[in-house]
Parts: sequence; C-alpha cells; structure tokens
Amino acid sequence: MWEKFTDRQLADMIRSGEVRAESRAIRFLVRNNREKAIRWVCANAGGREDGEDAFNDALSALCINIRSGSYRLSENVALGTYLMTIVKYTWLKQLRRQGRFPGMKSIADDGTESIEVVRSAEQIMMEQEKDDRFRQIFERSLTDREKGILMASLVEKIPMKEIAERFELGNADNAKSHKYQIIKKLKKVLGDDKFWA
Amino acid sequence: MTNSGHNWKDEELIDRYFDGVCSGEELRAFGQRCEADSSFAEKVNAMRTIRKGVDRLHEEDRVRKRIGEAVREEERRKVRIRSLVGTAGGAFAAAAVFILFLAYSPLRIPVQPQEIRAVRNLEKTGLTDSSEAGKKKAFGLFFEAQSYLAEGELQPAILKLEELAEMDEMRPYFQEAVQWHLVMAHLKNGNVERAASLYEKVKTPEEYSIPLIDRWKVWWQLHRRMWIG
Repeated sequence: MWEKFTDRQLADMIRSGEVRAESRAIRFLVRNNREKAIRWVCANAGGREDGEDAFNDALSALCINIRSGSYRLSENVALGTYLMTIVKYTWLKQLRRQGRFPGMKSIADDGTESIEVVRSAEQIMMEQEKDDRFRQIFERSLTDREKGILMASLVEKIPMKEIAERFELGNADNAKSHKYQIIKKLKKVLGDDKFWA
Repeated sequence: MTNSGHNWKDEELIDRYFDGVCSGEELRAFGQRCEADSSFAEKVNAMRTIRKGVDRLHEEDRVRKRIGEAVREEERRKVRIRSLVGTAGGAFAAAAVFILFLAYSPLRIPVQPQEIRAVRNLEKTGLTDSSEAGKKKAFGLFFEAQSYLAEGELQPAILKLEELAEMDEMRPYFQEAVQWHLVMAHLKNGNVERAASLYEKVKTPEEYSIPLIDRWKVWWQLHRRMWIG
C-alpha cells in the first residue's frame, strides 16, 4: 500500500536534491518516525508541540548532513534509529536550555543506540548549533535588503548586473561593492561573537 | 574594483576562488598567498564561514519547506484514514444492527389483498378440480391455517397447511403461498430442518409475491437457529 525504501535509497534520494525524490524520501521518514518521536518526547517531560519541533529540527539536520556528505551510511544502524537519536539530542539540548535535566530512557528500542550513532548524532548536533548561531547573527545583524543581496549573489548565483537592477543599486560595480560591504559587516559581527572567535 | 575609495580586489579574487573559476596559475598564486599572508588567509577563512553558513541557511529553509509539506500531507492522510475508518465502522455497525433486526424480529404473517383474491378466485378457477366442495375445502383449510398461525397455534396450522400442500392440481401461486406459510409455521415451531428444506423450494417464487425483507428475515432466522440454536 505504501512505498518502501531501503536506507541507501533514502540517502540517495535526499542527496540527489531532486525535488520529487527528496520529497518522497522525506515523506517516508515523516510517516515512519514522526509519531514515534513525538511519543518519545511526550514520555520525557515534553508536550506534543515540543515533539513536533524536535522531530522537524532533527530531520532537517539529518537531511542537510546527508546532502553535505557529513552523514555516512552505516550498515549496522538504521536511518530511523539514527534520526531518533538526533531527536533525543535535540530534545536534550532544549531541556538544558530550560535548565531541566530529567532522566532519559534509551530511544532505540532495538538496542542500536551504539557509541557510533551517539557520536555521529552529537556531530550533527554541533553542526546544527553552528547553523543556529549563524542564523541568529545573520538575521539580527543584516537588514532584509542586505540579506536579499547576499542570498541572490552567494546562493542563487545571480549576476551582479541583475542584482543591481533587482535592488536598484545602479550598476554591477555598485552592486558588487554593496555585497562586499555586507560581507564585511557580517565578518565583523562574526569576529566579535564568542562562538566564532 | 573600488567604491567609496575601498579596494575589493582581494574579495573578488576570493569569490573567484570559491566560485571555482580560477585558472591553474591563479590557484597556485592563491595558495602561496594564503601561506604567506595571514590577513589574506583570515579573509579566505571568514568568507568560507560566511559562504558555508549562507548555503546551510538556504539549505535548511529548503529542507524545512519539504518537511512542512510532508507533515501536512501526513496529517491529511491521517484525517482521510480516520474518516474512512469512521465510515467503515458506521457502515459495519449499521449492517450489524440490520442483521440483528432480520435475525430476531418477529416474522410477519403475509396477508396481502392479492393473496386473498387468489384464494377467493380458487372458488372459481383456483383448482382444476371441478368439485365445488374441493374448492371450498382448500379455501377453508388455508383460512383456518392462517388464523391458527396468527394466533400462534402452530401445530394445527402446520397440519392444515401440510394437508393443503398434498392437494393435487394446485395453482402455482397458491402452492407457493402454502409453502411460504409452512416455512414460517415450521420455523416458529422450531422445526428448522423442515423449514430450511421448504425455504429452498420457495425462496425464489415465480408467482406468489414475498417481500424481499421477509425473505431475508426468514433466511437469517433459519441460519441463526442453525448456527447458534
């Protein structure tokens, strides 16, 4: 009745970045793990909404790490178990922020919460923490227009001439100058930030 | 490139490096400069951090959008399943109630104008036997059997109906009516096997009209008695 994929297929589909394949893989992971993750968070001092947030954060971190190549598929560990371990660390981090440290049950009901999985999950969480901090700085220190210029140039790879037209910056040289000034501003804030210093 | 007196040459070079458009010669020079000039190396590292950070921000937004879509679809799927289960459950419950009604509600004695006409016609054309006494006897027996049946006196009703069933040259309509009354009489009397064998003969009547609901009731009540006594 429902689609079934192996972990390797799921990782390949996410890595491909092809919208349809990636969506199918994400749908599969949501269908098979979301309720379990929410139940686990609820059983560990959280509510349903906390569980939903923790699951979304964990799945997002997993997908990004699969895409960036940080995640290495292990034959001994199911992708679902891996995802659930990240949920656990995401929720643990959230509890620490709130100053709460309840005793936690092992999340892997198949006994596969090995050191390998835990280390890998911790690595992903560290990356996630960096991303969160970067996002905070990016959001707080730049205006919407500045963020737009930077995204258009660095992510969308739009030519400077077109950026100049879109953001009414005159010509391509002016747009480029604007971009570098924004980068300089961001660099300064990052340099002043304890996390990045 | 200058703007407001600032020289962006280094930034342009670093951009070219990260965009992967440097020539082999440029790459060599870039590497050497990174080793020799720590402030340049610092600029490269900062740009690496920013590019990686911005890329990951964009990636996260994109992935979260996909997750949001998947979650919404999953929620819709659950609603569909719940509604399907509810509908199926409702239909199942309704079917169960209907079957219970068929299996346990009292059987109706069929008194239909058409039947009465048929019995009255018997006096004129119902039997091929020309004997007036025979016609009257058949009518009388049937009338009596119906009365016994209505009053719950099953044994005399069965006797009268069996006698009628053995009469020769009965019209098919009248034969089927007698058999149907016998099915009900035997069923009420607890003689399930006899009722079942008669039911097999009359379950698809050719001339006598038996309402579908009555046929279903008899079928279910026969089977209820056969299955659970």
